[in-house]
Amino acid sequence: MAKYSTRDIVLTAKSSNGNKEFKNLHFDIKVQKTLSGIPNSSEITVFNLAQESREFLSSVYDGDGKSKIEITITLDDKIVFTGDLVNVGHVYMANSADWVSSLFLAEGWNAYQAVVVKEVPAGSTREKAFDIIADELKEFGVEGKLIEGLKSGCGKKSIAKRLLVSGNIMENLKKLINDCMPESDVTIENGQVKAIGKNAVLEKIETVKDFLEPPTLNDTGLSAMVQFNDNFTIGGKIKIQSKSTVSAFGNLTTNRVQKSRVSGEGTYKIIEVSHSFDNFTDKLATTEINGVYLP
Amino acid sequence: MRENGLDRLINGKIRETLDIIETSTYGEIKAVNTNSVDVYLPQRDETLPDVPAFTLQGGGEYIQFPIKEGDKCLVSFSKDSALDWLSGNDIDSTFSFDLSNGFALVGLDTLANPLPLTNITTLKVSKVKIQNDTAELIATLSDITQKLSDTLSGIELMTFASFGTPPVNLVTFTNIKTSLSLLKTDLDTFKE
Repeated sequence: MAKYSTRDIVLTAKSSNGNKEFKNLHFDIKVQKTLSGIPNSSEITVFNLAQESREFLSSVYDGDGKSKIEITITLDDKIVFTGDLVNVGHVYMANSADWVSSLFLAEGWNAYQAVVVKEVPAGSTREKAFDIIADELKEFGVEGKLIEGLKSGCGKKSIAKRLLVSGNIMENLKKLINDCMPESDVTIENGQVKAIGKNAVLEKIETVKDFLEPPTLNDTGLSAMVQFNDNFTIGGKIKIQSKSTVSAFGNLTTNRVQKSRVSGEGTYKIIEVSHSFDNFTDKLATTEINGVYLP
Repeated sequence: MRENGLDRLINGKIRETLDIIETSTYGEIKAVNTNSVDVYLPQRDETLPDVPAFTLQGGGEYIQFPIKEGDKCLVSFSKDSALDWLSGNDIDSTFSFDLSNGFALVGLDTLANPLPLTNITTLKVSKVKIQNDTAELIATLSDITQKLSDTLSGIELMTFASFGTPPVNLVTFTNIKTSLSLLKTDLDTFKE
């Protein structure tokens, strides 16, 4: 298999059975981060893993159904993604004499599965309740971090009764957040559980102007593809600048009804980021961003 | 008919949604607090804390029965969040059909240990208070009985001292006083 890319990709697997590093192999990697309430994920195709490595990865599940292997993807010495190994499969391709392994990672997978039965003391605010429940995720390496919403208003109101929190922790956090801010998102990113209100946005802003293909406008926002860039944070902001409104926006004419967005320029809340890269073809490493327009 | 992938996905999501919607369920009183009860849900091995209990009342008047550990109840969960309403806050939350929104209706029995149904109205109590803002009925009746007994004692003395041959003999007074005493004892069993 020819190698055109100079990218350096390394997978580091941590497990109670020991750690393992996978490098100098051909990798094809996709990473998807989203605010939609499902875990951020990565699909990895790796070629010609040694038998011992295939067996190591295949021992993914513990007796209790939790993933016991955590994998970190490093691209040119930068960590791109860390997630629990959720699924793995190995296929021998007879025509090319390659072993092809497919790995599926989900960020905070074990934390997403975690359940709790806990009582929140009477007199607690919702903000306090969030902290108490989110604390239960620490054993999965996830810290609670309240971004918006419960820090003021409804979140500061004291509740006269004790609360029983029972069941899936992430679902309970989402319920608690939505109690004050309907349609808000709760997600795990970079080891932190984040809650972001529907109309809230993180202050971090990135300006985007060099597109690989014309951005596409849709009913609520836009989709844009740029060269690989891991500075985009879901829930953060992007400022879209086009060099030419005529050439930069692919489906401009279909969106002319939205006068305020006729150029597509403006500020958007990032709701999804997808990275795609490999280390054995001449394909560009790309990042696709889906954003919701911020008036 | 076998479900295809899309059916499975949709049905799975519907089941997930139904699973987190609380409607009503049965339970047992585990603890009686000052203003609420803790309800044990044996089917889940969980205890709901600080559940408001139903009291038959209206216009500031009420019939309140004692609640004890082990009493059976039905817990009903409201669609709208009760957290703020119960806490006296402005209401702006949406905790729909959540375990936190339970209200306990105490007074259910299992079929294994039922309270037999009857065709008459029965009020069976151990202690009872029937009161308004100024008096309590049982105490008043008890006091009346005591006063009657005291009056009889006075009449008894006056009769023997004043008239020689009493119109009512001593045995009769004694019997009436004994009866009054028994009535008072009975009445006093209702007192708190």
